[in-house]
Parts: sequence; C-alpha cells; structure tokens
Amino acid sequence: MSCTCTRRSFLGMSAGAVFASRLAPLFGQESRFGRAKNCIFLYMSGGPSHLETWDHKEGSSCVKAIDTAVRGVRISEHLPRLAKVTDRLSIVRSMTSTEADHAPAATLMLTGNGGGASAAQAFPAFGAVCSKEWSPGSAALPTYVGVGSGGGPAFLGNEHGAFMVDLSDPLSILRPREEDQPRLTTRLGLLKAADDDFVRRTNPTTVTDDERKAVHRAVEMMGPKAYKAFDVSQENERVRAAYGDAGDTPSAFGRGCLLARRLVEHGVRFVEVILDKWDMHYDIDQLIGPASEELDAGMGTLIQELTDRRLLDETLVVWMGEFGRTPGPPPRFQGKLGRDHWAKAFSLVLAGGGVARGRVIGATDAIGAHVTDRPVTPQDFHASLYHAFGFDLNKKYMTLDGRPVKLIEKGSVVKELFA
Amino acid sequence: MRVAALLAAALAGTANDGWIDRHIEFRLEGVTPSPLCDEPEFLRRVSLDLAGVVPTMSEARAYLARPDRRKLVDRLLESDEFSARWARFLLELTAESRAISFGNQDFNGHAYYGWLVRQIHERRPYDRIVRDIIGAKGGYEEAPEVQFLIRWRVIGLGDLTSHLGKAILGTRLRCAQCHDHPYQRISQEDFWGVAAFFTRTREYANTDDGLPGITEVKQPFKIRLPSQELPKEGAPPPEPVAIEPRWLGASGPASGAGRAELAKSLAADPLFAKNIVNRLWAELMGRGLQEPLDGFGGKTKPSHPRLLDELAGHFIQSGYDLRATLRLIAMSKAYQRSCRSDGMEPALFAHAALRPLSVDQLYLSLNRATVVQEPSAPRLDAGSGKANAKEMMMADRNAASSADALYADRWPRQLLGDVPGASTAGRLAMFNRREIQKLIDAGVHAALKAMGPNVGEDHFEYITLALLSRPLSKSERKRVEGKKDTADLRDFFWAAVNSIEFRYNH
Repeated sequence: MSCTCTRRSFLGMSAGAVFASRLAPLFGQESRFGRAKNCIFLYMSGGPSHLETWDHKEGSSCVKAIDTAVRGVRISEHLPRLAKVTDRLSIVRSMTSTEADHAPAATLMLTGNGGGASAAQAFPAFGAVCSKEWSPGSAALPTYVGVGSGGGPAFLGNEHGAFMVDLSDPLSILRPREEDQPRLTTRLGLLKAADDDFVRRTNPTTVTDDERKAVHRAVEMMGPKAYKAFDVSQENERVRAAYGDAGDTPSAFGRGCLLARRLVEHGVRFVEVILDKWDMHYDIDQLIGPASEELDAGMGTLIQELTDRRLLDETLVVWMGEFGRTPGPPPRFQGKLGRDHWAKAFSLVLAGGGVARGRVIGATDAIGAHVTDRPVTPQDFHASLYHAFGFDLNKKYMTLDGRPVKLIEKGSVVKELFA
Repeated sequence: MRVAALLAAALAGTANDGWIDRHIEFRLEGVTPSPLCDEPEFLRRVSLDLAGVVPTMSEARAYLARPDRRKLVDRLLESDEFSARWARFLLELTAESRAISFGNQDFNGHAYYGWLVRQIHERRPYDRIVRDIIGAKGGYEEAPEVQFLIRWRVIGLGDLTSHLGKAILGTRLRCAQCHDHPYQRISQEDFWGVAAFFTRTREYANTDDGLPGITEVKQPFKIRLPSQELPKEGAPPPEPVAIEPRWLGASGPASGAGRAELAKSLAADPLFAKNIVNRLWAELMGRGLQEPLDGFGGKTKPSHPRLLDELAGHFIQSGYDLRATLRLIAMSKAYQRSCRSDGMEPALFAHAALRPLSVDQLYLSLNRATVVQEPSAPRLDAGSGKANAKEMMMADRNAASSADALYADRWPRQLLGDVPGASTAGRLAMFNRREIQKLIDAGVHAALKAMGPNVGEDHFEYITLALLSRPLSKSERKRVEGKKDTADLRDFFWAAVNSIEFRYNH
C-alpha cells in the first residue's frame, strides 16, 4: 500500500492534524486512514442469511423489505431501528469467500487468513491485532474485551487475547469479597514468594513469565476504574430496555452491546460481542424474526447512542458473520424451510470510524447467489479494516515457528468505504 | 507401513526394558537431559495424568513414606478415577463437546460419559470401543454411544467424516470436501466414499421424550455434495447423488457390510494405532511425537518416527490396551524427568513439560483438596456395570456439589480462559470468584478439623500436601513461622491455589 505509507509519513509531521483537514479533499479516501480509535465488533456466528437481512430479494427472501433512512435502500422488515440509522452505515453486499464450513470460514473472516497446518502457523484475530498495535486506553482496563466470544492472539502472545467477560456476573471477579479485601496485599506477597520459589526450583520460562505478567495485569484491574466500567447496572432502565436487556428474556447480545458502549467510553479499545443464532438450516422462516429483533435492538440502539455521544466518528462498528446462506427461495429440508451455508455472496456492514455513511457497496444477482458488482474478498475486507485502524499493511510479524509474515498478503483497501 | 510391519517393529524393539528411552536418548546428541524428578513431583504428576486429580491426603502421606513408582502407576491404572479421567479423554476426542443439541433439546452427555467410563473400567480394547461408536444404533438411553454419530450427523455427513479422520486416524480429510486435498492423495471422491458408509443411518427423536437415536434404513440416502459452484447463474443447487461406500485407496466399492466394514478398515489402517498412541503420549508428555496431532500425512513429520511405530506396534500387540501404553510411557525416564528446561528444545523430550491443568483437573483437585472427609470412591464392579456407571456419574456430581461448587461443565470458561495458561480474566476469576473463595474457606475448615483448632506449622503443611502433594519447604516454614490465625491459613491457601505450582502439572 504505497498510499498508506505516504499518508503515515505525512501524519508524522508536527502540523499533521491541521493540514489533514485542509487537504482532505485532495487525499480522498486517504484522509480517513486511521480514523478509528476504537472498534466494536458484532460477531454474527453461524452465518446470517444475507437475503433475510441486508440484501433483500423479492421472490427469494422469506421476509418483507422496508424502506430505510437512505432512499432506495431496503432491508429486512425485522430491522426497523437499523433502517432508521442506515444513513450512518456502509452495507457491503458483495462479500465473496471460498470457505463454507463454520470453523475454517470463521478463521478466514476473523484473521483474513486460512488456518495453516499447525497452531504455530495460525494468524491472530483482528481484535488481537488491535490489542497489539494500539496502546491501551487505560492501564486499569484490558485493550480487547470479548463478550461471549473472543479471537485468539496466535503469534502476538497471550496478553493480546480477548479478556473474556462473564455477562451474567462481570463484576465479582474484579474485587475480593468484603472480608478478604484487607488481606489482599499479604496474599499477593505470599503468591509472589511462592512463584519465586517455584521459578527458582524449575527455572524461568516463557510460561512462568506470562503467568507473572497475567498476575500483574489482574492486580491492575482490581481498582475502582474497571469496576465502574463493567458495571452495567449504572445505566438507566430505559436505556437498558432499548438495547433489549429487559423483560422476561433479556437479550445477552443487547446487554453486550450496552456494555461495549460503556467500555469504549471508559477506555477499552476493542469489544467483541457475539450473537450466535444464525445457523438456520431449518425453520429459517420462524427463527429469523426473533434473531433479527435482538440484533435490531442491540445494534440499532448502539449506533444511535454512539452518534448521540459523538463516539461514532472514532469508533468502527463491524457487523459480520462467517458467510451467507444458500440463495433463491429457501428450499425445504425434511419439511422445513432452511438455508445451508453459502460463501459465494454475502453481506457485511461497517459504521463509524471514518467509514462512508449511508452507502451500499456492491451487488448480487436477482436471487443473491453471485456477486455482480464490486466483489470484496475477506482479505480486501481486512485490508480495509486495517486502513480504518491506521495499521501498516507492510509490517512484518514473526510466526511462532519463526517465519516473517504480513497480516494481509493479497487484499486491497475497498476505497468506496472511505470516499 | 502396514500393521504387520508395526507389529514386527514392536517385537524387534521392545525385547528389552528401556527401549523408549533409547529412542529419546539417541536423538539428544550431546544434550544432557534433566535429572529424574523427586518423589512428590512424580506423585502429583502421575496422579494428575493417570487419574486426572491430585492424590488424596492419605495417598500422599502413604506414598511419600514409602515411595515405589511402579506400584503407584499400577494402582492408579486400576483406580476408578482412571476410568473417569480417560472416559473424559475419549469423550472429548470423539465428541469434542460433552453436551449435544438435537432438535430443540440439549442433552448433557452424561449417559455417553457413563458408557465410556464402563468401557474403560471393564478394560474393553480400544478398537472395540471405536467399533461400537461407529456402528452404534438404537436410542440414546439404551445405547448412549450413538452420541458420537448424532453429535456430528446433525451438523453434516462431511463433518462426521472429517472428524472421524481427525480423531481416529489423526489426519485431516476435511480439505478434500470441496477440492482435492493439497498435501495428501485423498481425492474428493475418496472422502465422500468414506462418508457414504453412513448413508444408511438416520437420526430420529422419540415422540414422547424427544431423546435421540440412530436407526438403519434399507435405502441409502443421497449426498448433496457441498459445491460452491453453481452450474449456471440462478440455477438451483446441485441435486443429491448416490455414492458407493469405498475405503480410502480401496480398489473397489465396499462389500456392503456397512459400518462394521468401515470400523474394520479403520482399525486395519496403520494410522489407527499411531494416532491413539501419539495422543496418549501427548497427554502425558505435553506434546505429541507427531505435531499437530491431526497432522499425520501432512507437512510435518514425527520427531521420533521409530519410537512412534514401536509404541503403535506394542499397543496392537497388547490387544489395544490403553493401560499398557500408558504404563510404558509413565515408567519411562523421559516421563519421569524434572521440568527444569534450561532452554532445551521441547521436541527432544529431555525434560518434563510444564502443562496448565485442564478445567477438569483444576476442578477435581480443588474439590478434593478442600473436603473434610475423603469422599468414599464409588466402587465399580464389572458384573453390574450399568447401574454402577450411573452411580459413578452421580458420585462425580456429588463430589462436585460438596463445598457448594458447580459441576465442572458449568464452570465459567473464564477460570482458565480459551487459551490455556495465563489469561488475565482467568487469574481474576481464581483471585475473586465467590465459588473459589468458598472452596478456600472449606479447605481451611478441613485443615482445622484434621489438625486441631490451634493453628501451627502442621496446618500449613496440610495445605501444601493437599494441593501440591509435598511437605512444607524450608522457605515456606520461615514464612509461616509464628502465624497462629485462621486468616493466615486462608491467605496461605489463597496464595497456594493461585501459584504456578498448583495451576500447572510439572
């Protein structure tokens, strides 16, 4: 990416910020380089149907379409709140990939690369890359938080893996019991002495070093700052209800989205939230409504709140699954309407972080089977993510088995996303 | 290499004791391996490896008074905990997750686990166990071994076949699903030929209780090949096709004996034995002789190919006896070395590996170390295996519910995290989770109960024995000198539970 390098050196100049805004029209999409300071990644595990979400096809989709805030762009009837904020989204309808099995497809979409022959050759998920490349927003908070799922750090090292949150009880791990609190210093002293003894007996290794770093980070997180950040109960009822985190069956995804907004406000830089309800081989006509409504409440409210709090410009929101689903009218399997995996054409959505607003990129044919305009590969997508994050695509990393690799070898930035 | 050749290798190589170590030492080429570990280290390590849990207090005291490594290994191999630990191993190997989803119901997998416990307890040969799992039919209640087929069938025939290759042969057939395999000569046709052995099976659910089962049908169903190419734009996905069952590399279609024939073909493949001994080796040694474990026939070669062949041959010769191979490994010097690594290459096996405890090991060990009474181990007897297997499962759960803990399946994944070893969330959970703090309280209570109400050195030693299988060290003695408070005991317990020494097998 030669343009990337130019831009980076340009930003390195002292008056960079001032010039950047004045010269923006000349630079076109380059001015959006590195605009994203945070990321909220909504992981639609299972492979959501593009036909029943963002790429409605008359005669094929088993849901109706509704108008959105962008004239001419129609999406699923089950996404009314997202329809209202579509003017802040970039919808990519022309994703195309080669992997249609969950595990390898997830690897490809999360890392931009295939799995490799062994763990030593695995690539990090993009959340882990952010943890590595971005400085922590706060020493008292993790850089990368996973709500329900979190990507592996591979060769970037354990400390860049996601900090996994137990959504049902995110707080009790952050503070000792009342009666144990005065003992903490003594306990940590004893722990250090025990580990010193053990390391002296066995000798230091990367394992023992990692363990001690983890203890250090854990202790840093036991202050009031992290506690406050993770305490969703401080949000008012109305807000929680808007996210779907209310009623008899509160939405874990909705609460995750709310927590994500809170964490980003407090200095966490990357939050991943899973909605794992999309593998609709059977009964898609019945399952699509509830899953979409959960998505709509969580993501729709999130986009609106990020806008209201002026966080959207610096926070990239990513909506993505591992693939789409078989095109055309949904076939019947064993008497039930369903769709199988389909990687040839599917949709993903980006918002904020310098990404263009109210835009649809690419298109598929009449039944959603093939990309007819502007194909985007997983590698192109990752190149675009890293463009938004401000990462150097030419940077070389060392794999666990000692090979220098680039994170993205073949992809190129989708310029339409940033123009 | 054929199975007969593996057998010949075993007969030639294993005539004398110490043959495993000759292979290991041959490759050391001047590197001085670590010395053998001391008795407390061996006791803890081999108990965690073979029985999946730290020794009880009385076991630890008895062993340290009169150490005998061979006797200890033999006792552990005969223990009920051994059956449970290796049932969990086979459960994870075959089904990956314990629970299965079928229809709209989740089943906790306890019945399949109980079946596996029984197989191991009754010393069923490994090849028979695999044969039963592959050929399983009937309802989940009377034939819980159908879990393996159901677990993968509901995802797809391709996943079932891939997993079979991965778990049973240690090789990746998966890549052949959509295109020819890049590294091995397994064509797409070969892959679906193996899958076709299952085309007469069908899963069903009972109408009354929704329990799943597997039944055989006369007419084999057709396979919808997962092509990602449409013949023409807008045309419907390709039609299912009928595929003849055919074993990898076989010249013609199978005889029609179906899954029984598949099981036979699998067992006749040299990778069948190599895969399982490699996995047993990896369980005890921290890494396989072949890495990755499902990488046979791939780009990486085994580090000690002849050792692997001889272990496989020995395993076949022993009648596919898991205990025989585990005994061999546990009695080798390579297994019994200290974990001082001094920068040596791990693949040399010149020192023991530092391995994080699994969630199960951590859970069972914490529970065992914190109960007042040794839980009376449930006895299994071969005569009435079924009822007792159920008892065993119940006992497993009861042991768990003591001290108000949760069943290991429901333990927050946070406790160890997705990445084994160091994770900040995992550390915080161990530091602060209420469940853990209650266990620590229970452990302190147990120490007071056993050693009397006046806190002294003995109480602290109770804790190191219970958690770390060793007496107090000199430096610990100094640290606890003059400490008389139960709060001191609690602090010491907390630190021990969070120490690297407890969290790892070493």
